[in-house]
Amino acid sequence: MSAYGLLPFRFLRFDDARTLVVNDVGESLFLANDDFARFVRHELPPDHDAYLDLKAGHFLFQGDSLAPFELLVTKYRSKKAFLDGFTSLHIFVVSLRCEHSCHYCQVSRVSADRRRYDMSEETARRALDLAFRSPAPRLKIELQGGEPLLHFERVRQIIEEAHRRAEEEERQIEFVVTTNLALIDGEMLAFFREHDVFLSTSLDGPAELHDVNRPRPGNDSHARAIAGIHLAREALGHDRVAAMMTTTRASLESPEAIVEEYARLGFDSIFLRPLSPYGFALRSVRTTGYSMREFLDFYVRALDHILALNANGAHLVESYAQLLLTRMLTPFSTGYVDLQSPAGAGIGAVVYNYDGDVYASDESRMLAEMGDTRFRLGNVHRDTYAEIFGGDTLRRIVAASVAESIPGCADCAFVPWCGADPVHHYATTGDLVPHIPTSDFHEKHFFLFKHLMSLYERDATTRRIFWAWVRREPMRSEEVA
Amino acid sequence: MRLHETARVSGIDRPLIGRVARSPLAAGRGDAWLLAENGVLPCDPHGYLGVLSLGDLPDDAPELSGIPVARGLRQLGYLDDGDVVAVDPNGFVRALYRRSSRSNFILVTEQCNSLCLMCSQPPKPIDDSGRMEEHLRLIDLIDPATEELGITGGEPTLFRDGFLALIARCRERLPDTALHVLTNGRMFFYRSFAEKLGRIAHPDLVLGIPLYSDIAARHDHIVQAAGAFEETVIGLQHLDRHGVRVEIRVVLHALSIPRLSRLATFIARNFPFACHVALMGLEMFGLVHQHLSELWIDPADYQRELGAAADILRDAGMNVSIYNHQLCVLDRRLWPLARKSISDWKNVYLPECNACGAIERCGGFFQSGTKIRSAHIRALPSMEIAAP
Amino acid sequence: MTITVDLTIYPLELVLRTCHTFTGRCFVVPRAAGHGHVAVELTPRDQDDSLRDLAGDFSNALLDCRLRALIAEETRPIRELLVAQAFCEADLLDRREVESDEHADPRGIAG
Repeated sequence: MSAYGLLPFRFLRFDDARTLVVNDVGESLFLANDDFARFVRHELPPDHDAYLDLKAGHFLFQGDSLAPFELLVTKYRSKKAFLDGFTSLHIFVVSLRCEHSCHYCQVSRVSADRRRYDMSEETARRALDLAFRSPAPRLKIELQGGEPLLHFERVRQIIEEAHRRAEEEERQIEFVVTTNLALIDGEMLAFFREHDVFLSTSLDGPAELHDVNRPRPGNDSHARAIAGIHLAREALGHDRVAAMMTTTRASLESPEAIVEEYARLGFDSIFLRPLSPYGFALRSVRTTGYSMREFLDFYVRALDHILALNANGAHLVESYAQLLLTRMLTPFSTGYVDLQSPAGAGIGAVVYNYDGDVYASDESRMLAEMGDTRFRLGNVHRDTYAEIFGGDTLRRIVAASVAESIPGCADCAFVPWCGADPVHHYATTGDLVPHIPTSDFHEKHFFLFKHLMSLYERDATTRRIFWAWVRREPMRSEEVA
Repeated sequence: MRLHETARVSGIDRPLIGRVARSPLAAGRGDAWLLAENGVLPCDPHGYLGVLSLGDLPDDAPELSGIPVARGLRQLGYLDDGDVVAVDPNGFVRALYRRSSRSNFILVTEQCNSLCLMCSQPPKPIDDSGRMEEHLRLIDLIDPATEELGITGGEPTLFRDGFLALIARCRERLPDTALHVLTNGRMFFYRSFAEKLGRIAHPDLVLGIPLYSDIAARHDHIVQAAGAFEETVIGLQHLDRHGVRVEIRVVLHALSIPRLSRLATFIARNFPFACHVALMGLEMFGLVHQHLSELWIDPADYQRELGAAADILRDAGMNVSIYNHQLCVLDRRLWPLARKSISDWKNVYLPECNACGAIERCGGFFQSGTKIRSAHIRALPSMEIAAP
Repeated sequence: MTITVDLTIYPLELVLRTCHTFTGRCFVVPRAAGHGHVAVELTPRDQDDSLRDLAGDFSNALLDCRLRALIAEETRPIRELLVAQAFCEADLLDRREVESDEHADPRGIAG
């Protein structure tokens, strides 16, 4: 038997019959258990199908051909290509003011009349200066709050100035405004239309659920959101308005109803998000809290319903599954800052708070609001680009976020698809490095990767749906039942 | 349709290449062959490159004295204005380019460094590097309005600098013509060669490169060249790195069908940058007949594998076409991928095809492919075609 | 429940690593047990967790832990080279052939 060598890979006992192997660029293969045993003992004969699949799949090599290594190097670079542009997402918290009082709000909002929580013109300008220092070929500027439309003059200033600078410097730029849409009007929409702005809003589900989660004076959050969505779609185009939901205890009972609400409103994507353990959410954990297990049960039911709708011709993507599947099935990089290795905190995305403080992530900013400022990178009025983006704070965070070297992650079969979120780990355990056996972050992602892989293996229709999601296209007409 | 024949020539002491002129030209006569039909010259031939005669011309006509003439052409009656014809001193007449055709190509060399089991253009071990001059001249004469031009062989890259010169000349003289090069890509194992090609920055260049298996040993067996897989695979990477577009071509036969889905996955994972993947039916001409038992499989018998491979590639967002398959043996759901891919000069239909409701859409057969063919060829009644 | 592990089969490092992966499911206390053995006491956090399953899972996990360590050790040089080469501007490999050219053709591709 001619000797073969192993190329780097990890494995998981997937079920009673099969072992899943995943190589360092995230390509995977199922092996029958005894084929796996022979494979790792170097006993697979070269004419065996498993041997051939492992060879072509870059799990083993034989001889001295350069080809497997060259291909792996190229693919590794592709997978980590999100590093190339450095910080590309720049989040501006233009104001902490908000007229909603959402139970789970992860922003410490203040009531509508406290103007000192607004971002000043000078702060915005300096923050833009820093943003434009980034080498990223494509910049994405996201405006958040509180409710950013309460401080529309700042929104206008930032977008106008950024757009002008981008044109001068011949850089690509994209704008997103995260808003509850309750206060949107024609003038704002005209402005957004002029600057190709995307809107991202919250829709937790049908009115009964949404309004309970998201109180405001008049208790009409849902009605206003719907009205705002229609107005915005008309002014900006259907695909310029996206929505996401936050899962609360009340949501757990109604996955199908939530999905139906999105389908009814003609959304082509839904982002099923669990609660974050930050901000007001921590205080109200008894009313809105639930375990990760409960969230995952909810997620499974919701995803099943989404898949059933897709199988019947609807095009509704679950955004998180789309992200994970892109990692699992394609050689391409994905720029989702909260699930990257190294983590995207600071090096992928950065947050400029209303007062000019700069944070590695939204979670870092929340921790500061609660009194812990260890993840503050600096301030736009005081610190230079080098001090903020090259300083010790950021380096410490990044150093703790290489999943390939975290105990518990380093050997995990899913590590090429997964990532690290050191600020989240710190906020929940007090340590930048996660304790994997008890980590909710681990529980969520380990479950989802396994679940999505099982669904993928289950039937051809699900595969077609998943691939359409990954391609970001509707299914081909002949694929639909 | 024949692209060449032997004529009776006089006054030709070296190879001559020129454009066909069926009527008098105001300019460019020195590059033009005056076309005589039925013994009639359109005008006084002086000042023209020479005369091509469909049929006979009197030997002793005074107006022809001292003028290069090729007489007695019978197969090239389709020649028209702007077509380019080469005439050799030995009487060999070749139609190198036809304006009305979508299948023009430059056959760069008959040498090749592979010896594919199914090669339809068997290589000749001759040194034909002297043809470069003819190729460059041909490019100068081709109508710049030509939409597409093929560059084939043998293996065009064997000419190395000559190959690069050809591409550069096309860029210069035919900037609006899409170039499609058929090459095994092996020479691009040397990164600098890919870099040089990239630097020419041709505005519309695609290299069509075959890959027959995801397993090195199997690909090398099919192309009969050890190390070819490694060279091709690394060559593909180099080409992408230097901005040259590539298409991957797979010929379907008994050796490539068994692992076709695996090959599709291999392509999607390792060459996602390929602008197109062509899944091609076997051309029954050339070396294939020496390896028939190893290679032949009825296309009707591999529809499942073909469909699965096409699905994998399309799932991954790649452009896929199916070439050289008759619609009656192709699964209905794969029809949208089928192209009328056979070059006009070797494209035929069978008598039974006249009754077929799909004849307009179907690519038909290779001239060489009508004897050994699927056992399932049949005319499709129109009713069967209308169903989705 | 206590599982006694023979340290001549499983190095202590691997035993401790396996213990760590079980700290979500149980409380784990390893103790020296004389003559090259370690005794691992496992107390399930969930009272409904079967001790038999726990013991079986722990034993299998030890085996897989050892297998992972072997694979990681065997593939470590290539893994490190892969990452280094992916991020390095310079070439860490012997690529004299690839960086030659079509005229020298050291591989004889032209045939």
